[in-house]
Amino acid sequence: MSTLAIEVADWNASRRAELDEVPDDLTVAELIGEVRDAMSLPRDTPYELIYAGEKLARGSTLEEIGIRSGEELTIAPEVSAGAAR
Amino acid sequence: MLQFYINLGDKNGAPVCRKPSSGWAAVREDMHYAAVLQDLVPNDDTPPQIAIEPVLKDGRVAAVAAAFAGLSKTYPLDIFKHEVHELLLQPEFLKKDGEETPTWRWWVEAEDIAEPAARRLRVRVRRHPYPFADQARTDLAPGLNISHEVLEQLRHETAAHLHVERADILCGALTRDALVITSRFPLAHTEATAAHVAFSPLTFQAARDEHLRRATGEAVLGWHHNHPPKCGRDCLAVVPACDNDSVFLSVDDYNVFLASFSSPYMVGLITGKGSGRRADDPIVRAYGWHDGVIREIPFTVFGEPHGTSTTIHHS
Repeated sequence: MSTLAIEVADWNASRRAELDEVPDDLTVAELIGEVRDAMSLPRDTPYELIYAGEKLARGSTLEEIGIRSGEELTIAPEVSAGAAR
Repeated sequence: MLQFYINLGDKNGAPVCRKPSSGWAAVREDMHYAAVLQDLVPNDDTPPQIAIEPVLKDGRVAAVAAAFAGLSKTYPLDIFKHEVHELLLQPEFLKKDGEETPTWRWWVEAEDIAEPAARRLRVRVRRHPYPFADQARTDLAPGLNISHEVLEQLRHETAAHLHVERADILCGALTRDALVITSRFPLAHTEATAAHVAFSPLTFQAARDEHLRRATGEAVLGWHHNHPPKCGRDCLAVVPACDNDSVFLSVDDYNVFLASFSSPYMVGLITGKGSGRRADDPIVRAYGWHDGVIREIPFTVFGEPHGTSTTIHHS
């Protein structure tokens, strides 16, 4: 296992989480949980990570995806608006 | 560590549900923005350390007191109402067939709880400074200003989409006393019906890419979506127009604000059918952050063809 230094920005780059010493066997779901808490994002809203234009599978590890130190990911929500409720 | 809890009780106040609240992130944003506007702290990337304390009455939270950079402010329980509304939409709290409409009471409690176990990761959060424009526009009113051209584009799109919702990103300039919306672009990668529009993470990624591609120097200031009339295009066959009004801030709309447009200067526009008006002559309402909650806000339309400005308080 090695460690990575990466950044995760929200979709409009208003906030950026800087993480160092991230184990590359960390799953996407675990990374989302850490970043969501640190950025004080709503707990009840599902969030996903985007890397190289693709939504990442929550069970994949950073190593499996091929994320390297110095790279940036985007965290963005899955939400609906509208008159339904 | 301070934790607030939303409590629901039956009509006699007997507790039926207790849920940790995450509803005060907006309080921190509100305090920080106020401090920056008053030049009490620099507009930089430092995360603010806001002190939050419950104001207690009879053992329950009556308000939330916040302090930062010499500012202090007391927030009423309104800051939790959205979470209560969300809770009341759970199936177990809705009216059931053949039963009376249930009455629920809610209250807020605060507890000091143990810090979570040591985290596996070290995370440092930096915030982007508020994107104030270099030069203020002295020709505009304080508060929200929307260009006539953008407003007419949104009304036109709304009139053309009486059967389905759609959404836009709003762009323009932020100054210390005004928000000026000068352009918009449609949100791509959405899925919509007549009563909802869904945004995936790729929707927001595409919006970010489009904003960067345009490189206009404008800031992202908020979003727009429409609420079509319940009867869709058939609405136009009703003469004279009915009293239905489809423009309101729904619980889901509030969630979108919290998840994606949480910066305290950001706004949302909702268009749709107004009472007594045809659906193809839609009205526009504006919503924005105020004291940590989303409220309807007045706006001024500028750049009208006859050279005047119109301020709309509540359409």
